[in-house]
Amino acid sequence: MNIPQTAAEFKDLVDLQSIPLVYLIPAIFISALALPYFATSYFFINTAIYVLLFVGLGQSWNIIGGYAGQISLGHAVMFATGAYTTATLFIYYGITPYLGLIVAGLLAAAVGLTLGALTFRLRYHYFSIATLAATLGIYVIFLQWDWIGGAVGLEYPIAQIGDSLSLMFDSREMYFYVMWAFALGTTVLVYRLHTSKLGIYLKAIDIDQELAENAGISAFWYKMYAMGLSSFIAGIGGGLFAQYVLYVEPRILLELIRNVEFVLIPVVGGLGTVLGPVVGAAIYIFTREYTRTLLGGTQTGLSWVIFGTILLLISMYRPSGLIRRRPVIGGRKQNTQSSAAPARSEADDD
Amino acid sequence: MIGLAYGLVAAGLGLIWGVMDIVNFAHGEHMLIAMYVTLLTTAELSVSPLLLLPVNAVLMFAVGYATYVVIIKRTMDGPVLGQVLCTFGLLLAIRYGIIYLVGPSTRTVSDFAFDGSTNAYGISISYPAVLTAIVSVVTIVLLYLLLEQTSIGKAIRATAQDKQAAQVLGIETDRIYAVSWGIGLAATGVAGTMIATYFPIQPNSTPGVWTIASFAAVALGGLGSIVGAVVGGIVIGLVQNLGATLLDPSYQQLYVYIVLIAALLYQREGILNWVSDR
Amino acid sequence: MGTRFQDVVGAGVQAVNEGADLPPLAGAEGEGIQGQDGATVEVLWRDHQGASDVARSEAESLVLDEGVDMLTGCFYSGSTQAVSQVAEREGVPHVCGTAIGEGLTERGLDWFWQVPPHTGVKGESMFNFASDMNSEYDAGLERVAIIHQDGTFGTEVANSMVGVIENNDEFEQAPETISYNASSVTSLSPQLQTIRDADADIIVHAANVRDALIMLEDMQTEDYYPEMMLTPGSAYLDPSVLEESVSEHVFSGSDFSNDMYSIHPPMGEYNSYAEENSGTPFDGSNIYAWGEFFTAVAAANQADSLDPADLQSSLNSMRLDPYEAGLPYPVEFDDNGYNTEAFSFVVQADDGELETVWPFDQAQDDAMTYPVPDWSER
Repeated sequence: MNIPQTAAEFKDLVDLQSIPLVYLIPAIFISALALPYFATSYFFINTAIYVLLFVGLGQSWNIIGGYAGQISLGHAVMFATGAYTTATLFIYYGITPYLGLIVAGLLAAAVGLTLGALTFRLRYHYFSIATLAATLGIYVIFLQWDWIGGAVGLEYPIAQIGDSLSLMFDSREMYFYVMWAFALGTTVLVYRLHTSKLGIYLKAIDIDQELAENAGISAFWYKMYAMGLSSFIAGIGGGLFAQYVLYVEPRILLELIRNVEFVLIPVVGGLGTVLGPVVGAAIYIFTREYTRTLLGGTQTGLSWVIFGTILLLISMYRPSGLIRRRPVIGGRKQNTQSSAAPARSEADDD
Repeated sequence: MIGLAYGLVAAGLGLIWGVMDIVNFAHGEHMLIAMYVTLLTTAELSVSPLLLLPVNAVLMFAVGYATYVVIIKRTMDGPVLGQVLCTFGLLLAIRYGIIYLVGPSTRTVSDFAFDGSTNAYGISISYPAVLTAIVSVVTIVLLYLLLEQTSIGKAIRATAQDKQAAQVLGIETDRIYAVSWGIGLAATGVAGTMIATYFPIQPNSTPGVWTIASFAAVALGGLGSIVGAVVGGIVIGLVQNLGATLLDPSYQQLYVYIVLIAALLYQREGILNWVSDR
Repeated sequence: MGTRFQDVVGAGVQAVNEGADLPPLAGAEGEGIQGQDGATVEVLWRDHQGASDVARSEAESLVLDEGVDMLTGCFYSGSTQAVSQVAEREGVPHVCGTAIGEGLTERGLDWFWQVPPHTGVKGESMFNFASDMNSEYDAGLERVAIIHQDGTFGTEVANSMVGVIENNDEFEQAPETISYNASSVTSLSPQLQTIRDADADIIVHAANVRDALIMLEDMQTEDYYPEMMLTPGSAYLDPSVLEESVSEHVFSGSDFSNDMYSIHPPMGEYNSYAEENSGTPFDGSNIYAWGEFFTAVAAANQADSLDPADLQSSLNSMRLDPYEAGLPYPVEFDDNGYNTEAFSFVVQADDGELETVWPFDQAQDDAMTYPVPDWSER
């Protein structure tokens, strides 16, 4: 099987490039709204909710990893910060999560910025290693921290489900819409980023940091900006996760897999593209949930072997993911394609 | 003493890293392969792990070589992202592949001929640990000699210093890369074989520890230097133990992480500089 | 471990559906659950992978999609809490026989019941044993070192142990509680050093299999052994640890021992049945699953119908004699849903088997080895 050729043919099929994003995004999201009506089982809705949440999380990573090119392996830290902030504010102080989420986002952004400040002078894999070490280190700290429940974690008072300000719902549909809003919001944000000056600068930094610096773009500050934005979103995502699962513990927030998910989703779907994380989240979450339930407990690890292999294949043949990047630099700022078949834009790759 | 084992593993990592600027995130998992080979063959066939040393070394060399040729090579021309993802994918595939095939439970080698320990000068020393240290030292020395004395070794060093110049000199850089992977993983294989003799091995936790430790060691010791990696390894071993003894033992692993990050930040001035600035 | 659970429960299912001659095991009298007109039992298994978010999703799927009548499980406290939340919200009984966290029934839930003794009770048995050792054998035990893995299990157990010691004047903690990261630790020597420096008599170690082995091997390497190694069970009852010679003579709080059958003959019959039909005998962990299953069956057996409300009242008014639920103790729940009749005893590892050593009147003669011989004498 000639893989490159098949991939090329597939690429032509999945040529969504020709449709302007302005139409594509609403089309996808509005049709997604209909999903709850077609939900055949709770399982399906649950999966859909996770997909939407992870679209948001994927977009968060996309900002810093896809556009700015900084491969962070530690995004779970911001995610966890957001989750714990929202949870503790609500459980201990009764502060409504609507407010708590914002605080969570800000706190997560602060954490992210600190991390960035320390590590942005590192490049490429050094940065990745540092972020990985950071998330593992924070994991250890959280396990020891009694106030947030240590290893056991904290549980939400379920008696308050349905209270108006609690952001805890009895109906899954409400959660679906909340996550939908999150996914839509982040996607629109990334879309705006994509077409904005910031997006161009970030891409420039990604392609060649020295050159960008010479052109007067302060790499450090723009990376920080991206990191702040990215972390803020991750924090909110974390809070939403906590509000859905109604339980927070270090393991589900900071384990290696969580960090990997942040990377896997945008990469598989399409790095640095607006819709990449949407595709990636859908593929990943559906595969994860269905393989786990279908294969049951007897095929432990098989799904991860599959993901690992997918990651391998993608890194070998299509490092930028399924959806090709639309040119940002040196092309139109609008997202319509002028040429019929999108050429592999070499300038985008490192 | 475990520092020496760290050093050996780190040397393997450092070789790959220094020569081709690829960080093998799956380093611990590769070691896991050797460990499991050891565990399973000793359990089923009652073969002494020592006999497996050369077997695993050769096996891992082959694995490394093959990994490069089949997988890594494809990513060399692409973005760095691809390389990072690639080794990460390997991490997942190998770790969970082993879990899938063999199960996630903890195992250890039983009835090792050198089990037991002795008391010397008030410090207790376990035989397998000493043996591991000896094997590590021997292997490290062998590695060093290989790189310094043999023609292949020189070719490797040349490629590490300047790829294009090496090519001009007629060195097949591609093959050198493959060989580097082979040697790097062989080193880990040796370490893994010995470690499996006295440590309980668990596929989820064990590789992570070793990967991080070897990263830290290499970062400390400077890229591309075997001696540096070894020194780094010893330091990490000390940090772990002293940190746990003197400071709060609950945060033992954290100290290594902090050292790692600090080392990365100041990495340009690595402890021993051997390769000229990249 | 999950597969061992599945094996014995599978045997349990068979016993119920086909009828087995195992009095007084509830539900096994005839084919199917007699109290529900011979309805057959079916068990659906889901793997929560130790993650509470997964546990929650799977539980909801079981209840909302599959329409199960009862939930059981889940070994980890976090997952158990998440699942019990689902049970509470959906009004489905959650019978938990495999999680031993102490605070699980204190959460004001109406749909949650806990069958086995929780860590506080286990801790008390452990220290009652130690106290008896002091009075009967002049053991002179006083200083206790608590060391635990920093996961959910370890932390919970340690907290219970600390609580028990605080209320007990005979013992004191020395040194302060030590925790370590189970997945990344390669040696517990530094921690052992701290324990030795504090001159502890008893070491209480809440561990996973891997770190339990590391601890024992490190102790052997350093030729050190405390007066008494007293664990809350779990890893130290696991076959992988028991088959290693270093685990010899360790004392553990447990609900299971290999020789309990002489004091509790029906358990022996259950064990034979399980082993015959599934290939797996009872051990320190899967016995919990067995008991959990049969408690649930008993509830169904005695309920007026399979409606959630009827099942709930059946559980609330449950009064089972020993062995009826497949466990050596009775089952009767208090207002919180905790089985106050559950008890724990103390065992000692001897050549890979667990022997009851306390209460003394339940122990076989010569079962206990005390004082524990030094490493060199083994």
